Amino acid sequence: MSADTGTALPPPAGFAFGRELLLALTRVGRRPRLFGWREVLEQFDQTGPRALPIVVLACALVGLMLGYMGGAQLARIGGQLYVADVVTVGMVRELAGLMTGVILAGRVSSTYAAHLASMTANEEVDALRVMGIDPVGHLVLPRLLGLLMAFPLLMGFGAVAGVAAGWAPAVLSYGATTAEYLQHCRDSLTWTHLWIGSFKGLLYAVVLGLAGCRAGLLAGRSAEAVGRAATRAVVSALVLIVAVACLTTIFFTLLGY
Amino acid sequence: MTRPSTPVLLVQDLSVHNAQGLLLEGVDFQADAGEVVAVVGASGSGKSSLLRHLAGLQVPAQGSVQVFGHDLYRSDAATLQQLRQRMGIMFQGGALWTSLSVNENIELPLRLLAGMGAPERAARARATLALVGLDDAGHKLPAELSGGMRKRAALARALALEPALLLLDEPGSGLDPVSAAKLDDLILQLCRQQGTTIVKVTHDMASVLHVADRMVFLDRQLGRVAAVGHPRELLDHGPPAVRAFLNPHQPSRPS
Repeated sequence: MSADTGTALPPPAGFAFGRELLLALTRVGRRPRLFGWREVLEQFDQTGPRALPIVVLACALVGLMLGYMGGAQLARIGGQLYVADVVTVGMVRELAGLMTGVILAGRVSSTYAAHLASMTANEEVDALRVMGIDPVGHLVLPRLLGLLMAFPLLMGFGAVAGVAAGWAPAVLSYGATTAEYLQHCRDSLTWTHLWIGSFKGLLYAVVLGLAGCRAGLLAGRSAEAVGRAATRAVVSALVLIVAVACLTTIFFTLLGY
Repeated sequence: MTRPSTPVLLVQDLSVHNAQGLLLEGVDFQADAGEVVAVVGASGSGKSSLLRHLAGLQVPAQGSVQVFGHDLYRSDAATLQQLRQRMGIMFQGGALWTSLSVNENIELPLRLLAGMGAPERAARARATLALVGLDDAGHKLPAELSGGMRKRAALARALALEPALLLLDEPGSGLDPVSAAKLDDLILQLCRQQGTTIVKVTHDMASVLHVADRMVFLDRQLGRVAAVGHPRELLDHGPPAVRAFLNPHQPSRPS
């Protein structure tokens, strides 16, 4: 077929994309047997275990940095024991989710975008549409659900790795004992930090998934479009994650959490 | 053959665009039940773009496409869904879902659209693959198939839901002459036995003359339909430009 794209029946964009997604969720609720649960597990498998080492490594390095930077400042007022608090709250509430999001923006959003753009270029998405199979429900929803399952787990492992890495500066450089470090970690970790961190993580997962899938489905029908879609997905996912992180931090702080 | 009053496909005053601009305007033709309509024209004349309009994939700038009496671009979502389930399409490149095996490609619409159980789906997939001569390829991924096999697998997928209207984009291209002839026989069999209406885009004039009841000739220079009629009649008595295209080795005779 010719590579015409100009007047093609537009895939849902913007709010229409969100509406399509809600409609797809409704359909799954009505007829769960017909949904591709196997694809959800496949997506979870591709997203979760394979990203774990890099997420753990990145979060550990951030925890280490946070420990040294926080320790240096706190030591000036004699509060170096509070390194554990800074690392624990920082990782659980903000940075584990953010780092997981940044890494998955590169790994997952780009993969989703490239795969779906390639399907668009090969008319595989058109084949779904012509048959009356909703591409959003069939292609986007399993990816999004798989990511929503994997993200909190990755973030949890990342937070543990970051807090564990914060032990090194606290104990080796700022004179805390291991028992003191652990005690401060336990004392500073509240349910509020946990649920705020988890909530943010889920938002990041939605942003990442939608940025990748949307870029893929909106790609043109050419090989170049695949590369452009992957780039667009990563850039928009990164920008959106940072924006969401910033807005939620301001929001929860203003609410007094 | 008795024809129902409502054509299966009715195209009226259709304008066809692609990214470069207007390709065709004022396209009018119809396809009745059990008919094979061949859309013929030079490369770049808008055949495949026209087929995308007929499949509901590309919004026309003007005109209408009616399928089973319903306007494809002005129907509500429920009607559109029903229409689509009565249509099948085979894209030029096959457009098989590459991450699924051939069997899964065929079974997916059966599961999602027809709600068939696993044994019924498997039986239908086997039968459809046998119909296109791919009995032993069901477990293979599309990447493991040759170009011709991919086309036949795509045809099997399009046929699995037993569509009343089948759209084929260059079905014979890339096939060896024997396979192409078998495909033509299969098309005739579907039309005669199941009353399937087929619209096929093609360059293969031998195939057109063999299977088509009606030919729509697109003129690239005019950007319009230059002639509609039975292929043999157009070959013998059509406009000179059409006869020259259909039989390029013969000098054009006055009509």
